[in-house]
Amino acid sequence: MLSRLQTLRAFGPLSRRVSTIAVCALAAAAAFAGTFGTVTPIGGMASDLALDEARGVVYVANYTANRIDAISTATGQIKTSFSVPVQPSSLSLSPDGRFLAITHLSNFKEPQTASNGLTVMDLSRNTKRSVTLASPPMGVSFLYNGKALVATATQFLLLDPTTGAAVTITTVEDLIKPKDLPVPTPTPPREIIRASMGASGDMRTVWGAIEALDAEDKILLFRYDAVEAKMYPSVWTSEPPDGPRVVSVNQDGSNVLTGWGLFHKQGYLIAQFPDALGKFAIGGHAIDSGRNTIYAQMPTSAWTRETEPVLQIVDADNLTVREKIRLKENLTGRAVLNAAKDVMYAVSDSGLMTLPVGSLNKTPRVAANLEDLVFRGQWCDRRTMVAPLEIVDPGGNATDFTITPTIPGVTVSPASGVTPARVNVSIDMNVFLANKGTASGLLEIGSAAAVNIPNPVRLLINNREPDQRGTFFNVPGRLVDLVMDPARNRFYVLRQDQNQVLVFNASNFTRTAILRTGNTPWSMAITKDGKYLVTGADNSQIAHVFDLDTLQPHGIIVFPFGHYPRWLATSSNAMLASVRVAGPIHTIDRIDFAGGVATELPSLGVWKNDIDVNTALVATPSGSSIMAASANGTVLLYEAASDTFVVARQDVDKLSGAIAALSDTVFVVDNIVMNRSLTPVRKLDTANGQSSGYAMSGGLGLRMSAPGISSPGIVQRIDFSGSASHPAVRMTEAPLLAASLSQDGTFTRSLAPAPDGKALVSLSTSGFTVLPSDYDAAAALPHIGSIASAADLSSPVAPGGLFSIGGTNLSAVNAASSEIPLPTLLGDSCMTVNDKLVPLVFVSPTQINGQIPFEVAGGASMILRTPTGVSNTFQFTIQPQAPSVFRAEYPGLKGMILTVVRAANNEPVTVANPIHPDDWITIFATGLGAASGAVTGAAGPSEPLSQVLAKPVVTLGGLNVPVSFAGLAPGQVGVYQINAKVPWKSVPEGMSVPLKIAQGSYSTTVNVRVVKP
Amino acid sequence: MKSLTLFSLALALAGTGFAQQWDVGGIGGFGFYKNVTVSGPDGSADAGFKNGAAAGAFATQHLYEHLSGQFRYLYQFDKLKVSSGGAEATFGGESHAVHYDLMYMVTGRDAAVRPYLVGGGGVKLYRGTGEQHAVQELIEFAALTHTSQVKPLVTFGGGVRAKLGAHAALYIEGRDYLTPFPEKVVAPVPPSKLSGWLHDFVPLVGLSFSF
Repeated sequence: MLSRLQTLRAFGPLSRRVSTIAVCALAAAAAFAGTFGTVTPIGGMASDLALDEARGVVYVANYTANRIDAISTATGQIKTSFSVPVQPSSLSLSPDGRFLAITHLSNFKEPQTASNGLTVMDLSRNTKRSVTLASPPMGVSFLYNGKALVATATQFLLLDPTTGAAVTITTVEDLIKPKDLPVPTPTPPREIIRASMGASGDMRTVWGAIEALDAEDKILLFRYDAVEAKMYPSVWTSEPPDGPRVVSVNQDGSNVLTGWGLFHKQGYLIAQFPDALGKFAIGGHAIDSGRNTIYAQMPTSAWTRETEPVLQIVDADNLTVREKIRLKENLTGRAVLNAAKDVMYAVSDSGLMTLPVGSLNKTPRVAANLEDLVFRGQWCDRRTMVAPLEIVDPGGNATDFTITPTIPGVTVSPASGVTPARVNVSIDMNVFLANKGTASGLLEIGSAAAVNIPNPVRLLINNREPDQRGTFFNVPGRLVDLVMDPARNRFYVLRQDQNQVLVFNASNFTRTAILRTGNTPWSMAITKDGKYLVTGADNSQIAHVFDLDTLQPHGIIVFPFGHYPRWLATSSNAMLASVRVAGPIHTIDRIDFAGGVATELPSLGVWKNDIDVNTALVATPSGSSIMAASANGTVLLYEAASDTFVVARQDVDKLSGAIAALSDTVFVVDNIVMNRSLTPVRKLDTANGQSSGYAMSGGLGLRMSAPGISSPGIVQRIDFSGSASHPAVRMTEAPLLAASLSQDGTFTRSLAPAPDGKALVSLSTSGFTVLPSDYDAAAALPHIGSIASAADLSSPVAPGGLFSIGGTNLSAVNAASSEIPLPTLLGDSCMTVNDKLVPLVFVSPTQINGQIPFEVAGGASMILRTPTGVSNTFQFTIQPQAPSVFRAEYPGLKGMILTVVRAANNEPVTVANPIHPDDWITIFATGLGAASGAVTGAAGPSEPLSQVLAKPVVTLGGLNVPVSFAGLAPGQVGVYQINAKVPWKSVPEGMSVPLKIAQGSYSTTVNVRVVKP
Repeated sequence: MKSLTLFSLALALAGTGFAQQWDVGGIGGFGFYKNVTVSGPDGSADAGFKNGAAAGAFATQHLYEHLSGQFRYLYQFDKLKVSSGGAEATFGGESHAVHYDLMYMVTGRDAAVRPYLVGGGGVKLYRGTGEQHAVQELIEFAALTHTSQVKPLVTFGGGVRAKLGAHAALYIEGRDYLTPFPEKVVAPVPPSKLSGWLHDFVPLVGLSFSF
């Protein structure tokens, strides 16, 4: 008799949300996408199938038409049909292909007559035998020895097909209650049958799942070992119900996928499909052990009748999704693979679906070559950024595609085409001005022909300012935990979406290995001896152990039934796990590392072992204690010395964010600092946004936080022993925030100092960010002290004019640019005037030259941003016009000379090249203000020429010099030229004759030599 | 030049009414300048003109037994120059001198050889004629300029007039032409300064028609 109730529960809201996004994307593309597989309608509703490769047919049990349809594997057409007693519900073909066993679940209520039974067809002799059963048959499956295991509502029988004799293996009382017929329309067969049996590839093991206790959330899960002739039954509770009600068994029978749960024969749940729907009649699956692959249609909780059916190709050990393929229609029951494992046959809405899974490369698919497309922009540089992206068909086919960005400011060219193709993704950085961290979006890939659902490409657009510290390393995926391994100079990052531990070198930050975890890994912990890494997962009832010396799997920790280990922590004498339990309460379990099992603590000291589902655990560095913090605001402290929980408090209503046990006496959750009694002793300011991570460095605490996911990160030292204030420093991008992980409120551990003490590593928006540990080393802030025209270093400035500022720490380096348009970031310095970016010509520690934007005038505020920080706000006035003549070096001459050029020899006016009467002269100046067609930072146009709006008046010694042109010098930025003709008569002569340029209310005068012939 | 030539012809025609009263002729020689010093913060330089050939015309009127008056035009190929420490900048140039002199003849009017002393005054036009460039060597001292400037001229010297026949005479003389320095043509560049007169010593040989 079965007495034990075991439980499992599907993944909660987190994965549901993820799936919703995927479904939306999927639905958007569904209207015109290709589908995979061919359908053979049977004119009824199928309940089961059996593959007879020797005869080239698939037998499909037509439950409602009371026949078996033999469908040719070659043509996909019904080859023949033969009638059988009513409601054929399950099929099984003997190993030698001679017998086809058919159960009939026809459990009509009075006054109609029930006619349950079993038919054995001898396919070789074309005969059939009816077997009368004592109770309704739930399923049948042949074994390697030619016998068939038959499950009925009350018995497990071993049937000899040659004689029809059945031997009872065991009885089942009051556990299985078949559905009574008739049922309401449109209940599909699998909702009626609610049972499935399947044999392993070697047919030595049969697994089965049958609804138990007349409750859809209960299943009798049994394994019959034909070699041992022993039945291993257990009853499980599942939420949602364990649908699709299909059992798929691996080659040796050690694993079974029933509904959405993958079980090991030792009785633990290896992994489960996240956020499964649990409908009995929607979905199906088959296992290819040789390729460690499962093909499964597994709808999520977001499923609706309009949801496109999708076949997932997943890893058979942890259900990691490799690929998603659109199906023509829903699978509705068993799926089997042929011997070559290249064709899958599945019960489907219409009857039979044939899926040539081994020929996917011949089927149009489309994918991008990158998971993430990273744009390392600068807030100070708003030029369009462009990056290439390769769109390919994994099978090498020419497949159409379209690419659609989900966020504004992104253009793709070409946005459609045929694979293989390279597209350019362009980012208009002006759209991302508000994001000084990393903004993210998606490039969704669609295709009319492709059968797969390509993963969208994540766009990461960083828009840092120069003073933002740190370098981010792109790591695609959903990263949720970070653990440093000082002994090996490594750190480990948990990638949740791919069920991986990523191993990184802590000196050069390169990835060195990948470890496979359970499904939806949640946290990591290193054992106290430092030899092993243990990972908990939210969709596995086991923890995975890895040998850190070999980086190889080192077994598992089996948790109690229904226990999903989330957070793990190691103290000096115990490793604890906070556990999501598929049951009324959630618990803290203790791991017996040597025994490979975990057990639920009977109590938490004097308190019940009943915790919030979102409870994080962190151990102190010494291992003296473990703190547990729950989303409901409760904190607990496990003390290793006394081996019990010694503190439980609730001082707030809710908790989330960063969690850390920084020392034996300092514990932090979010912004609450607690002492060793977990009594709040201090509340840190929240001005810097949500907390992400804490660590200790150089005797001080470190906190990383951010206002939002696309904001800059904030790092700040915290003096936990005093109240000294330390400046907050902005990081390149936001660290990992709880808000990005879950809506429920959860905890983050995102920060760890590198073992060599030189760097800090923090999980962040794009992957992880590395920050020098002396990131806040004393560095003088830039200071702007003065501004003048760059032409003469004395005049005021005007829109469009070149200026020069003087100050201190304006740049760490000397740098000049000859680019046109001028860059707005030069030598890591950038500046704004009234929030407009300033094109820069030259930067140095004490001087910066640039162009006043044409768009600003009047009172102005100038701010300089450098890697050391942000300058004072320098107030000054921008005149409408403020002409000033350039001084320039000239080869062969000492000092600076005026840029007044005689057209006669195209050389500048000097004492050796004085102005003569009737000369044409060109005056190169700046500060002449607004001009037609002028663009900040760009060169003056040549066609048409850009002319100043306020024409200057030029005089030479008081004599008017007519101006023929005044405007931007073509090809130059911020440089104006005035063309003027010196009169023939009355020209004053002298070594120093005033040449005056007047414009509006401002003028400038330079002295030039004038001689007569 | 054209007006001076006409004037010379007028003088020649005018002289035909007197016997042995006039000498009209041409003269040539080579000028040796004694330039001025330009002083500036970086040192000093020699500014002025390079030595050059000279040619001209003259008309001498023998007024008295021992006193003659002479009108002379002299053209010189005078390159502008500034030099210092082995470096030199030059610039095309020329000068035109027009002056009237009194000559004291040591011997009497009919003597075959007449040594004389001469002194007079006039004007001298200096012109820079070279191609102007922004860059000039030694510009810290002086700019050699494409312009012109007229300066008053003082000249003195001595020579000998030797009769070659009834109507011909040979002049051999040496003169110093002094003018204030043409500071526009060879312009001292502030803060450099120059001062002094420009000496141009010119040995000349001339032939004249006497009538």
